Amino acid sequence: MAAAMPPPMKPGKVGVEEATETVHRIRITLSSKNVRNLEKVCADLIKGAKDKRLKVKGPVRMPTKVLRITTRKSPCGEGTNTWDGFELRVHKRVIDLHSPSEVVKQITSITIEPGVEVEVTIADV
Amino acid sequence: MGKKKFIDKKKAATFTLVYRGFDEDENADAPARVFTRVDAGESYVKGFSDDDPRFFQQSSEYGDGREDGFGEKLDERGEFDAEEIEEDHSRFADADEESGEDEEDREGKRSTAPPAGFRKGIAEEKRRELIELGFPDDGYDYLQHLRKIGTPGLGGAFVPANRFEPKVLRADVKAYDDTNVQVERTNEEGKEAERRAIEIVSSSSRVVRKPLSKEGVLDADILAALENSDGSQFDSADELEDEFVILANDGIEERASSANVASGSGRSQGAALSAKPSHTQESDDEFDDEDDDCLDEEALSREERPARFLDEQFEMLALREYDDDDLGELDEDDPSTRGHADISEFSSVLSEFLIDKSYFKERYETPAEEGKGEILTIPTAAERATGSSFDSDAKSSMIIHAGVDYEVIKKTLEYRSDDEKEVVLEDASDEEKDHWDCETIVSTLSNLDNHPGKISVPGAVKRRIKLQDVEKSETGVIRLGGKQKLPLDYLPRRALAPVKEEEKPPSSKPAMSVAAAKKAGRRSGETFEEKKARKAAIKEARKEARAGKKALKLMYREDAHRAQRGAAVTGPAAIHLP
Repeated sequence: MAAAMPPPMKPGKVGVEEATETVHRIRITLSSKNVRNLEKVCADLIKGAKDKRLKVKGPVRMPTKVLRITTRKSPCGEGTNTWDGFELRVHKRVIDLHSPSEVVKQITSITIEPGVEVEVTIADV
Repeated sequence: MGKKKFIDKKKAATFTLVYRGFDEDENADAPARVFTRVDAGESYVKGFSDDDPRFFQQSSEYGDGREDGFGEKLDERGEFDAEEIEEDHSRFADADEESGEDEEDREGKRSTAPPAGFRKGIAEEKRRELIELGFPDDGYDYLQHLRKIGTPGLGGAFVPANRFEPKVLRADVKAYDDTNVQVERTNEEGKEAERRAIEIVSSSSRVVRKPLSKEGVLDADILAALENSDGSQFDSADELEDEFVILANDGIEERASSANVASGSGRSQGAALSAKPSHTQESDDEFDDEDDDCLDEEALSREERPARFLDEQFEMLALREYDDDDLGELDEDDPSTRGHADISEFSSVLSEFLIDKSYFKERYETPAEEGKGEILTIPTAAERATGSSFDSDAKSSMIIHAGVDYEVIKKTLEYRSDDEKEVVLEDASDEEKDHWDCETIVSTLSNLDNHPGKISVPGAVKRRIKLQDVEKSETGVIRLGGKQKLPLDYLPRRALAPVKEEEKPPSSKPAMSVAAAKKAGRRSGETFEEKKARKAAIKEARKEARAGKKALKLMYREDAHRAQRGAAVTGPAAIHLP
């Protein structure tokens, strides 16, 4: 049986820390062509944020953008008109946090997967 | 909308995780990806701006002039050591020149150009190298994309090049520096010394010979002749007597004879044979062969060798064999060769030629036809001489064509020379009688008459339509009908029905159309057998109909093909001109 779960927000010791670490609203936008990696990174981020007792919202899944290129298969005009439909899917996830920026830096430095683009927007800076 | 946004973009700082541009001097432990500021703001964000390589941390020089809040923040926090700042500054130590420009750029708009500090992150040597290689000087380290050749593991190794090294050949000629060479001075008379000097200088042999005048090798006359090269006695070579050499050397017969032998061994060897010490060697190798001096060589070489027995023999040979004036003329007594001959002796030959059919034919005839020509016999000269006539057999008969002028032949035959020789004619064609066998005959016939062809099985004779069989329409117009537009009246009528009737007798089922079979059969209340019989009849009718249809189709197709083939070969009946 686990010990009592600590409350999401850190109790006490606020004064000193708040002086140095102001909590910002941080939005992390993750985008990738690869859904698996993206989901993994999302999960890691949220897990990391929750470990640090941060207020997390997300991941919000944005609609997937599909870039389509439809071309004729044949290099010449002869033959049955067969078409190739090439697709590129871009998935986007958004995670909102309330945390000091340093913590976010730590979190994001741990979970890095190739192919996933990370963008961090810090409000009120 | 009025909805409160989570993040107000205007007051927000955005960082993107990008791949760091690697410099060699940076440690490899640094993470490959780094957060860099994307938006245009310059505010300091804790945790993110620290590692931002683009985040411009100006040197202290320019720290005063800057307007942004960076300087303030630094002071406030006090977290940054002076050393740290200096470290960073040292990295961008050479940023001085360009910072001024970029300041203005950065103020209001999103900076596309990297800050000056970042731009000058490349060391001076690297910049020089990049410029040397031809890369643009934009602060980007292109060398990270290049690979050093020769480093083991990265691939590529230096292999010694096979360079062509031409062998330095020794020059054939030697050049002597003759500035220090002393020319021999003689105390002799001027002319002789002159002559000798000339001779030495102009010698073409490797070894300088003894001066000519010393031993008196050259005849005085020759020497004199050599000297007067321009004012020679003889204007042209023709005036020289043929035996001038011998005449000149009359006085010295012995020497001449021996010298001849010696000189016969070759002028080129003349020099080699003579081995004389040379006073000076300067002129040895420098001159090419001059043919003018060959005479000198000859004269010289003659004297030097002692006369051998071989030389005497050679001399005798030359005298004996080649001294004869009549050399080259034929012997008159040789019976095989005839002298002049009278044309009349060969009258027989001429007569044979004249009556030779192959030359005097008026009409070209194949050998087979030749035998059919008229045979005329002309009394030969022999006959006339003897007064007798030979057998009219093939022995002496000559076959002539009737067209040949008999008179001409007679004249030629009567022409005879003074000596009345009997011309005995032998008909050589006696043995080759006209034994014609089939092979010979065939070979004699011309190719026009005898076309070689392949023997093949005679093909089936195609029945052609006889016009009497065709029913023509009365108007005379050819009707075209059907799918292939064939002339209806001229189609061969295939007897389909009678053929079928012939085949059919063994079968019990009569040939009738499908409809007929259906109509005939259907009755109410028929028994099973009747039904079966009816069905069978229908089946048969259908089968026959199918066969008939197929046959008709084939026939049409065949005829269509033939018509098309004909149309393809022949031209159009009429060309409509617009």
